[in-house]
Amino acid sequence: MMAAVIAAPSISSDAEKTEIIDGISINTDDINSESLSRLLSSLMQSILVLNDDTLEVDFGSDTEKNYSDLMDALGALKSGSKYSEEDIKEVVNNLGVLGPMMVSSTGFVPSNDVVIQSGSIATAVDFPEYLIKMLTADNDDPVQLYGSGEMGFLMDLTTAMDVQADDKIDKVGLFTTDMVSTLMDGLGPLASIFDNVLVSDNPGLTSGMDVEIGKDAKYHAVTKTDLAVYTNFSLNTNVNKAAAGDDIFAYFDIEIKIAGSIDVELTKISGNGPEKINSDLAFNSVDLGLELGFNNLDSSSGNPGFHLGINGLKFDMTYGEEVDGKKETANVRNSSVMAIANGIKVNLKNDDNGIINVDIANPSSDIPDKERSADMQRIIDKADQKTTVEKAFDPTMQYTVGGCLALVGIIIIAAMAIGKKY
Amino acid sequence: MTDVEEPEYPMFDEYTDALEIGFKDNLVISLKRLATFKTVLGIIAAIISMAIIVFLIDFLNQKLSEIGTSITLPLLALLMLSIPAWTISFANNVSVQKKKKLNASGTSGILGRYVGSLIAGAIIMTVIYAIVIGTWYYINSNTDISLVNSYIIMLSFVALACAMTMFCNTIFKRGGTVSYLLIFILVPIVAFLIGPYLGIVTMDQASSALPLVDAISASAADGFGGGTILTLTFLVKASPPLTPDVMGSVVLSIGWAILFIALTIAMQHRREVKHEQ
Repeated sequence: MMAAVIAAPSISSDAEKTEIIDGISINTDDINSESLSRLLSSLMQSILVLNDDTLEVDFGSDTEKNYSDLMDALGALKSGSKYSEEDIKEVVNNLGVLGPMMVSSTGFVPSNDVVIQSGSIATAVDFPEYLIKMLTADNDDPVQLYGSGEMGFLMDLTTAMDVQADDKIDKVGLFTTDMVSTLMDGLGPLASIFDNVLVSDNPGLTSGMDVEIGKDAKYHAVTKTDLAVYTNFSLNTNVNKAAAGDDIFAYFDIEIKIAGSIDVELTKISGNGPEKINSDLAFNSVDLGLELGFNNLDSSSGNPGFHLGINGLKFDMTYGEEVDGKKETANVRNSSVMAIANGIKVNLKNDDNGIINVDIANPSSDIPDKERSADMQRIIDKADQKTTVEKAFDPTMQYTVGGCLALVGIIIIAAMAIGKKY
Repeated sequence: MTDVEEPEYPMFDEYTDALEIGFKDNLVISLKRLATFKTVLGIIAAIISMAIIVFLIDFLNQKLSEIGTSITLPLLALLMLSIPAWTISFANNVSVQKKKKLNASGTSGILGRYVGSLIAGAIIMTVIYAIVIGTWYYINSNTDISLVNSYIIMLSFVALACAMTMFCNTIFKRGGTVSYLLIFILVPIVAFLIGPYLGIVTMDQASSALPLVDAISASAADGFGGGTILTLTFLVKASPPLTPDVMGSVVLSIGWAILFIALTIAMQHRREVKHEQ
C-alpha cells in the first residue's frame, strides 16, 4: 500500500534577476537566502544571550520605561552580562523585526529602535553546554558530550517599529517560502510526496503573494505576538568515556512544541509599495519530536545499530496574508498518512547473536540531573503546558456520511416492507 | 422455537414459488450456522493461522539477521489486519450458503437472516479477537492496545461484513469471495485513486466516507482525519474509551451496513419479481 506519487509540477521558484545598476543584476534568490541567514543568526544570538537564566519582564504603557527595563533585564542575565550594550540593543530590536521578517518578508531590516507597547515576556533557556558550544563553534574547552536541556518561551507582546526594505521585495509570505521553493525545486518530481505529508487548502499561498516593494521603502510595523514555545532535547552518549570493548552508543532526541500566533500590520510610511500589508500566522498545534540513536559504533562487524523514533508529527498552522484589501489564507496541516507515523520506532540491528529488536533507545541514562532555579522550572513547565494542545477529532464527515447512508437504507427497507407488502 | 429446517430453496427455480418465512425463523437459520462443525473448524483454523504468523515472523527475522541487518517485522499490524480477514470469512460462513445465491425472502426474512448472522458473527469474532490479543500479549506482554475501541470498531465491521456478504450473495453465488475482493482490493483502490492519486478529495475525506478496513488501528491516528484507514501501523497507542474517532468509525460502518441490507432486500425482491415473470 503506497500512496501513488505523480510527477506534478512543483512550486517553481523565481530565479529573477534584479537590475540594480545598468547592466549589473543580482539573483534575487541570493539576496533572500542572505536575509534568511540574517533571521536565523538573530534568533541564535537571542538564544545565546538568554541562555542559562530566566528573563521575566512585564511591560506597562510607558514605552521608554519598557525599553530600558528590557535592556537592563538582558544585561543582568548570566550570559547577557558578557555582551556589550550594542549587542544587547540588537537583541532587543530583534523583537520588533522578527515578526515582520517571519511572516511578511525576510527582506526587512530595522530602521529605528523598537517600541514595546505592552505585554510581558518570560523566557527560561537551559541549553546543555554541548549545544551552546556547537552554536558558537567554540572548540576551546573539551565539552561534556551528554546532557539534556529545555527551553520555555512565553511571549505576549505588542511592539511597534519602523522597518525598511533592505532591497527590492517582490513577494510577501512566510519566511519558509524560499526554503520551500528551493527544496521543492531540488527534489524535482519527488516534491509531490510532500503533498501527501502536509496538506494545505491553499497551496498557492505557500509561495507567497506578489508585491512590488521598492528598495528602502519604509513601513511602520505593529506586531502582536502571543506565543509559547517549548523545546527539549537530550544527548546521551559514551563516546568520550567508553572503555575498550564497551558498546559505544549515542542517543539524541529533540522535541519542539509551539502554540500561539503572530500578527503583523505594516503601514507604509514612504517609498514604493502597497499601503497596507497584514499578515498573521497561527500555530494551532505544532508538536514535532524525533529520536535518533546509534550503537555498536565501534564493533568489529562494522554494522552499527540504528534507531529512529518519531514521537510527534503534529503540524497544524494557519497563515493569512492581506495586501491592500486582497486577502488569502492557508491552513497547513499534516495529513492523516503522516499522523500514522506518530509513534513509529524503527530498530535496525546487526548483532553477532542475531538478536532482534534490541531496544537501544535510551540506554541507562547517566545524564546528571540539572539544578534549576524554581523560576526557571516554573516558566519551562508553563510553556510545556501551554503548547500541549489536544486536538479534538472532528467526526462530522463520518457522522454525516454514515447517517445519510443509514437513512437511505432505512427508507428503502421501509418502502420494500410497506410498499408492496414484501 | 419451531424446529426449522433450512428450506431447500429452489427459489428461482422455474418450478417452485418463493417461500416466505418470517423474521424469527430466519434469525434461527443464521444462528444455527454458528453451531456447525464448519464454524468450529474455522476457529481452529484461526488459532493455527495465528500461530503460523507468529512462527513465520520469528523465522523470517532470524533468517534476515543471518544475512545482515535485521528489521523487526510489524507483528501487531499483521495480527490486526487478520481480524478483518477473519471477519469476512466468518461473515460468509454465517450469512450465506456457499455456492448458492441468497435464499432468504421477504423484508422481515432478510432482516431476520441478517440479525442472526450479526449475533453469530459477533460471538465468533469475539473469540477470534481474544485469540489475537492473547497472541499479542504472549509475544510482547505490553498493554499498548486500545482494547475497548478496537473491539467496538471490530463489531461494527462485523455488521458491515455480514451486510456486504449478503448483498454480494444476491448477485453472485460466491458472495464471500466477492466481499473479499470488494473490501480488500476494490475499496482501497478507489480510495487511493480519488485520494492521493487524482487528488479529488484528500485522503482524510476519502477514508471518512468509504468503508476502508482495519479501523482497529485508527485510534493510533491520534484523531487526525479519517476514521477508517487501511494501514499497517507499527504501534497502537492506548487511548481513552469511546473517543470521537471511534464513534465516527462505528457510525460510518453501520451506515454502510444498513445501506447494504436495504440493497439486499431490494435486489432480492427484484430477483423474485423477475423470476415470477
